[in-house]
Amino acid sequence: MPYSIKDQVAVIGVGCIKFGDNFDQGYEEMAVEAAFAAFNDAKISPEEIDAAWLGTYSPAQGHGKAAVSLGDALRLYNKPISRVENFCATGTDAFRHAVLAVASGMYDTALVLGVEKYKDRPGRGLAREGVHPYHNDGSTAPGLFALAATRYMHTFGLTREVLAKVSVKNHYNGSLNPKAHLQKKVTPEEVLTAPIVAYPFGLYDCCPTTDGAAAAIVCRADLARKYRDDYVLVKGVGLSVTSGRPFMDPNFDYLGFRATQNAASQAYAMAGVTDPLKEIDVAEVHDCFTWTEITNYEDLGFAKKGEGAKLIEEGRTALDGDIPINPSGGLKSFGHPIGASGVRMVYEIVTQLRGQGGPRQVKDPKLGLVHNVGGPGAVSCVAILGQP
Amino acid sequence: MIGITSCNYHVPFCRLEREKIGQAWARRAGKGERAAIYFDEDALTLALEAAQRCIEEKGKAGIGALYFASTSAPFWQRSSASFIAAASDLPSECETMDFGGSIRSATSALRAAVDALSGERLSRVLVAAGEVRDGQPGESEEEWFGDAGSAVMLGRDGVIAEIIGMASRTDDLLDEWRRDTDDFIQTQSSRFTTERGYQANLVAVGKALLQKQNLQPQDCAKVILPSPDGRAHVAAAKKLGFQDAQIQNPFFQEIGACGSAAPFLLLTAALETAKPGDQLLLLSYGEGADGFLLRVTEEIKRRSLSRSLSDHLSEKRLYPSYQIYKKMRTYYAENEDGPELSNVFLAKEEKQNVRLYGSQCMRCGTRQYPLARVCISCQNHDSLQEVPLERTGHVFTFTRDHLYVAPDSPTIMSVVDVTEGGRLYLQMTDVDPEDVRVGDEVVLTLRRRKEGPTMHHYYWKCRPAR
Repeated sequence: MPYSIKDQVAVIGVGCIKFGDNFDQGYEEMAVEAAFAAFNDAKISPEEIDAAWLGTYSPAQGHGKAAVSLGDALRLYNKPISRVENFCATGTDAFRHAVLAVASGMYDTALVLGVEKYKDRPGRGLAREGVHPYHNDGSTAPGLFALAATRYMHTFGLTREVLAKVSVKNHYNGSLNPKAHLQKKVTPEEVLTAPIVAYPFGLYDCCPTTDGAAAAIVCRADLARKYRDDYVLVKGVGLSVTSGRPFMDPNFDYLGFRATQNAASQAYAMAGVTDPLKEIDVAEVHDCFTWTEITNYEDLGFAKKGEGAKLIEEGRTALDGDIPINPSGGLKSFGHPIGASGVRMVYEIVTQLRGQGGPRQVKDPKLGLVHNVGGPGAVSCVAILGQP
Repeated sequence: MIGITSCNYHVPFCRLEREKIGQAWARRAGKGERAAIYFDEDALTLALEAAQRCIEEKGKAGIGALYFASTSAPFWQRSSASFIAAASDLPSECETMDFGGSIRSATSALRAAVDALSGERLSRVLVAAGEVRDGQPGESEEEWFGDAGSAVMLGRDGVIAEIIGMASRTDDLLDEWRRDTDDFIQTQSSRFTTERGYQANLVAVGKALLQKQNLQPQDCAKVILPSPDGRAHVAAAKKLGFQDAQIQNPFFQEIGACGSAAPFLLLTAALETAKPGDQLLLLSYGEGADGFLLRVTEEIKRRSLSRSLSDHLSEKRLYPSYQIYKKMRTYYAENEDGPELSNVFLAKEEKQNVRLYGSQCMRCGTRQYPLARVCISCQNHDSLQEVPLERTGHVFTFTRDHLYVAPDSPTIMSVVDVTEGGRLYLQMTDVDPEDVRVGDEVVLTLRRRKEGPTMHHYYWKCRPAR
């Protein structure tokens, strides 16, 4: 049983910029805007930050594969800064690293910054880097998840009509969120008749390619009150890495993601959660594609395998349901700048726990969950946040 | 006894109606269709597919040589035969030779193979031919030519058609040619080339061969000769004294004139209905002519034919337009956006990427790909052995991906469970995207992949078993 860091680290400030096609903002401008929003929220000055973690999957043009893009953007020099890259779990994993470092007692405060600038790249979709020239030729992000969706639908008889309900819900939530990329409601008909991107996913089954940045400040729990009264505590974190080549793993059933299941059980064990459906009040989960949200329900323990669709069909994951999922609008409508997403989800859960969600506020949440799953279901990071 | 132990063909899944070529050039067109490559095919892959069918049928033990013949090989310099030998997982002791320069090159290779077997130097030889044939845009040859691959396995045991005689002649008559600077085949088709080139050479070699063997045309069950235009073969055969019923259909209406791929393809078709004792006269033209007399053996009865050439040809995709047909032939030449890879990387990975080896765990038995040092199932270290993977399997799951940039969308990406174990992630080709289902039986096929700035890339795909 790993050492538990439950209640040892507090989130004292969060910041998030407007996500979208940020044509007029460069990487550094977005980084600065998000970081200073978090500094202001925590009423902390940059000098008080002991260490920082940068979550960036694709460094900005000219930035290099190091942590210097955070230091240079904020002029935060001579501090320990690390860059984290772990597929789509990059942002949550950066948060996890900062939490563990503070829990270790080495640092009192730490900054987590997630940034991604995608809309200044040529081509369509996400650039694929570091893939095998032959073995992965032909794969795209939606294509990789579509392989799982096809197998799942074949096995459990799930239909595109049910997937569409996830899109409708998350677009509705996003329409209430001024920082979301796509603030637009959609109808089931629009979802089902949109052009196919990678069967079974149509355009509205897929999250967009988005620019964005988000930041969080964490500190030792015993120092949190120095900054604010309504701080939020980290209850548990988990990270799991499985094969990045599930398509060559003869043991993989393609009916869900082992990484999510493992990361969640680590985080639940640390947080003392035994019945997630009852105990978790609100969750931001990785809905890169509509089907991913369905399997997340199951892999996170909100439903049995093969029965996740019931939660969306019965409206239980809507804003007013008993387990509201993705009140922010999710990746589907908030957008998914890889490294920024996990930190943006922390921002959303902290906002919800503080009761500052405005029109998308869910009812009296005490315990919230952040989840990312990245690559072809290879890497998952889960964080559980709660009120003191 | 020396002769054919197996023969096969591979005709591209895609065809173009000649009418579409006529429409593109605003003129009348001939009847029928021409076989036409997909963007992932070339002369090498067509030949390899046919060769792989021979290996499937007869195994590869004892193959001492692999000969490749083509006038349209994908490399000016680099042995296609050596590449086909690697993709067929033949050992480095295998002799490889490349034949070219004439549409007669496949039968030149056949002669060389027979000689090597006669001298007892070798016991089995695989000869593969492939052609991608481009006539001058707008000229009739663009319609008449077709793309195809074919192969024959030769040996002493299990012979289905014994080679009882051979003859050759040369004639430097200018009929069709391609300079080192030409993208398209030059022709001066006329009554002159038909009569003084094609007909004269085939009749001369055919007569010489029949005389040498002391045979009359009526002693032969069939005369097999490729047709340049769907008509000339009839005149040549009749001039030799053959009757209509003896003339092998040259499949000109379904495939077109497929150069060096034609002789083995038509021989395969002739053998579909052959009976023991049948004598066949196989003729091949190009700057002269080659002729072979074959006698069908009792062994032919043991050949289980799952499908005829006509069945094979009936499953197809018709290109909807001349423009699409053209794009499939030129896309890679015009889009060199694939990776530039080092020869070090390519050599290191040849075993898994070209020879298609995976690892088998000697402890738990799991077959896995790519090659590994630690077992994916039991995590045991260094209990893995390199094993060749089967080249058949079934679709575990798939997607139709419209996002991936390709000359033809959507790209079918499939997860394939290989027969006898191993799982691969493969593009699927030669299929209507809407027809793909979980559980479909597939065959692996080596195809052209993204074109690099200085190199052609090849990797495995899968296609429906047919």
